[in-house]
Amino acid sequence: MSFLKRHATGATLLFFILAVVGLSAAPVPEWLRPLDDFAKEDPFGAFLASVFTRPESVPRPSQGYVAGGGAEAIAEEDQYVDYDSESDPDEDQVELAPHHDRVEVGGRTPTAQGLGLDDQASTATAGAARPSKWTPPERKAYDFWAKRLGLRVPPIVRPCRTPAGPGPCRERALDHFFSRLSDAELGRGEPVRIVHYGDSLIASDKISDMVRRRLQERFGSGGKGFLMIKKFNSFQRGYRTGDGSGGWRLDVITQRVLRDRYFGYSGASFTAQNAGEETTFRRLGRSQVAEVYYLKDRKGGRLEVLADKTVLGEINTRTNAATSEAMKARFTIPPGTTEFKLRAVDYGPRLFGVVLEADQPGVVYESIGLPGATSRVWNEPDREDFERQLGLRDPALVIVMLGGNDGLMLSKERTTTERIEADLDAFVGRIQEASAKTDCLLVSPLEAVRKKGSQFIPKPEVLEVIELERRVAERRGCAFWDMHAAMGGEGSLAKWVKSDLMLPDLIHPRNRGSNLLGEMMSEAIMDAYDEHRARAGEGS
Amino acid sequence: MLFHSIQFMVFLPAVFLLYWAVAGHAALRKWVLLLASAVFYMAWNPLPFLIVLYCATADYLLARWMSKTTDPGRRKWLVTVSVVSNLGVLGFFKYANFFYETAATLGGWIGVRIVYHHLDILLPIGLSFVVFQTLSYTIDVYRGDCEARKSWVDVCLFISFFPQIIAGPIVRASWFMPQLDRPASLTEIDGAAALLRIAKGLVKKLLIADLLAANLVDRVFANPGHYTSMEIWAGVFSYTLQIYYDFSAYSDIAIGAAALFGYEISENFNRPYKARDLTEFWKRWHISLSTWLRDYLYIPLGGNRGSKLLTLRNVMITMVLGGIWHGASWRMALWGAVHGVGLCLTRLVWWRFGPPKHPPWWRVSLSWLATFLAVMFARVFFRAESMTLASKIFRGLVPDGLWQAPNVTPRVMAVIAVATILHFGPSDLYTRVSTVFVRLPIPVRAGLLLVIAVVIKNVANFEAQPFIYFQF
Repeated sequence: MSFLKRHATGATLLFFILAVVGLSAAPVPEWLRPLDDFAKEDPFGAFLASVFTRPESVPRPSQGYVAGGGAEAIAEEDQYVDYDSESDPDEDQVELAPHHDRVEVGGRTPTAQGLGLDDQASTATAGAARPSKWTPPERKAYDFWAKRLGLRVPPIVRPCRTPAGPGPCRERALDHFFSRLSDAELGRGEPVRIVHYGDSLIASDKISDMVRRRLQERFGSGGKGFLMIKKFNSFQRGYRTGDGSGGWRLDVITQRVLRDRYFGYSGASFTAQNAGEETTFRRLGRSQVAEVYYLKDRKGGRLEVLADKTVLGEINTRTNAATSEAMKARFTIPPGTTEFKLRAVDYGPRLFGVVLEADQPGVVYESIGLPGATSRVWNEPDREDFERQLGLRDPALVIVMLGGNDGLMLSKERTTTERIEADLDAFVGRIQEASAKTDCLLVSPLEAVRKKGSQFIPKPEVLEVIELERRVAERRGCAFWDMHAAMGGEGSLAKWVKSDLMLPDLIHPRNRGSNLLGEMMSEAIMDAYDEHRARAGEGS
Repeated sequence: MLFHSIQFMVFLPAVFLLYWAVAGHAALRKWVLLLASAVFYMAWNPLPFLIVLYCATADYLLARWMSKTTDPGRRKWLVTVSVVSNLGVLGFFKYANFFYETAATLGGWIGVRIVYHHLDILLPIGLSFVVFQTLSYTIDVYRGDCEARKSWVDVCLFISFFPQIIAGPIVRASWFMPQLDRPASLTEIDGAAALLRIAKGLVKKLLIADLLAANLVDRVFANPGHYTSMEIWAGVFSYTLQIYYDFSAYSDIAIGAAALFGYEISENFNRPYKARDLTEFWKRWHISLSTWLRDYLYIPLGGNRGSKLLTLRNVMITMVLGGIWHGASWRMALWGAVHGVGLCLTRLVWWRFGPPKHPPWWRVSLSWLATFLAVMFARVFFRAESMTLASKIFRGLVPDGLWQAPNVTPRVMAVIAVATILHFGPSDLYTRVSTVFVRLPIPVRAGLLLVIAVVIKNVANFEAQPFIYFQF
């Protein structure tokens, strides 16, 4: 006893440690275990791995307060990047056109066409199921996680788009997109544009970046596509936006109060508040063509367009017309250009974004995500303006990956499934109105849970959202992919959290979790494409 | 190494065991603590520890030279070299980009073109604290408040002692050095109190500060436009609570960890939001910094010994520099300036009317409210990541007619309520708990600590956040 008295603090510590280890290793409910590692197969190995893992959260050089968590951390905290996800696949392949010109295109929607002769021809050629030079890349991280979590990639559901009748279906959802992909794989045709709409999961461009990477590996890169004028939230990546000066007014459809409905097809606009405001796009990669998307209206102003220090032209966004109109101006980027810059000559130019493209076959994958976005907010932009701009982009595929925030609203009883379904249906309707040739793919939200103690209780509202998305896809002739099922279905998020694939908010995946989802999504697209080619081959 | 990491939970008992195993040997136990401090610091990144060693070694040598001469001119020259050396290190690693960018901006205003390219300089963790602490050594030796140490290990240990190297409290040499000479001892009561103090810090950090940060504060400050004015009020109020619970938690753990080795570190907080004016606030908030600034900056500038105008000037200089100490940006300078203006106004009122002696309750209440609101609003500059976001927060505080706060969940409200009650509740609550705890039998004490660990595991966020003051 006197020994204990003399070493009371050490004894207290020893008792405490023994109690922690004992309770952690004992067959007790998980919530009673102070350390989860001791419940694993190799408890001491797992514990030592935890101890000798370098601290994840380390401060960065400070210019004042940098949030320790939250959005900033969500965007940048993850150190376990399995892939170099900040690299730009276009970076090293600079082949620029020798001339420059400028074409201003009026706000007319391109004529919507059905599958013409050219399309059928290309389909037939692609359908020959030629041996592809592409070989699937090595995906060690993906294979590791897929095995560990027992993941299976569910197929994309592609409803038949032709009226029901005898014989096999003649046209399925995504057929048109796949024929464009097939052309790209053969090195011909136009860039295959994919527009991926979503919320913060897409704003961070992590899942979509992996899909982009995989598609461009196989089908080539057609350039960066649409980029916003400047980064406006910490989810976004710098190389997917311009580097804008401080005086651009942001209007975004997720704001509670909107000044008007002109948001283009990206849901955000940037208005120069002073003459001299500028934005610069660097890392141009193989871009040969730049298109500036802007609003022509009475409050507009002049905008100077520069390639490095060479003035390519000027855009006057002001008009005396009573109505505002979404426009685009096209420029050819001179060879060797390192920076593409827009500078406001006057107060007032209102821009939506800049498209950088290679003007050659390949995939252009645009991620347009707004944190907090719901199905409702994507119906906020002026319908005509939205459809006109999307029509000008002429995407081969529009992916809609919403529902996470809708599910959240549903769980708080701030909306209903009927309302969400109507909103989503209306949004898909807008997309289809913009271009009849555009295919659509709806992707389900991730699993959502609430934490009760150490338990993760799945939110049933997510399943309701997934079901309504299936219905909208079926009704609208869109393909559907169940990312929730790809994760492992209901109850799977706990595994993802324990494998450290999710951030502590339990909503956003870490980089490696995002990469995993991106790999699965790209695999689902590739599988559907291969199946399409095989079917077309059988038919030819 | 983070205090609330599993690494630290293994590291601390291991060092404790090793230290007390050799405690009878004075030199050996100091080496154990020095090496442990090096491991603790280098767990984040090994190389910056060389900077800590450089500061310690340079000041050790300068202080030794100072002690060997009585020539006032030479002593002044030596202390000046120490100040320049330490501030040079801080200036390069922390402020190089700030100075460069400011020069580029000022150049632009007067037509001189300076192209700013961000310099990729790593800011060693806790450098501001290290520099202030090491400066206090040479200045104390210069002033005769402390003797120059003959042992290099003593100086290195004083500067790098792991409980407080990262985020204070800033310990004075004249306070800490004599403790190195005392025989190592730890009574049962002190040891038990130290363990409870560490547990208290973990509870404050993981169950209050982190919960408020992850569930409200970070979201509101990231996208104020998405929240109603009631939610923004809740967010700003919560941040005021969060930063107190975060930073005071660090101090609790530092004080508790140091006490486990028989060292006493000065208190850093005394319920700051109970202050009835800003002068009192700075006597209660980050006490080790405010007294450091008072003794090593404000008083050398002249303090309040000159004219009233000079006193106000000295207050403003001290507070603006204190602001910039927190972060290399003009936003932090503005935060310091807001406090400086508040302190100046307080002094002006006192000069005019005299300090209130027996004010009525309503005047005390008004004074408290005004002080709290001033501190709370000034925190917006401290927390927002840019002036644009700060102005959005201020605009968001204006009532928008939406009298609802759907994003302030019951859980957040509960945490806010608990945090508020604990802060403003009976001041001797913890003392009473501690008094009972230290008298309990050893297994019961260990059992209670286990209960705290289980509660933290089940209630805290899945992933803890670093302490806010780590970046300074």
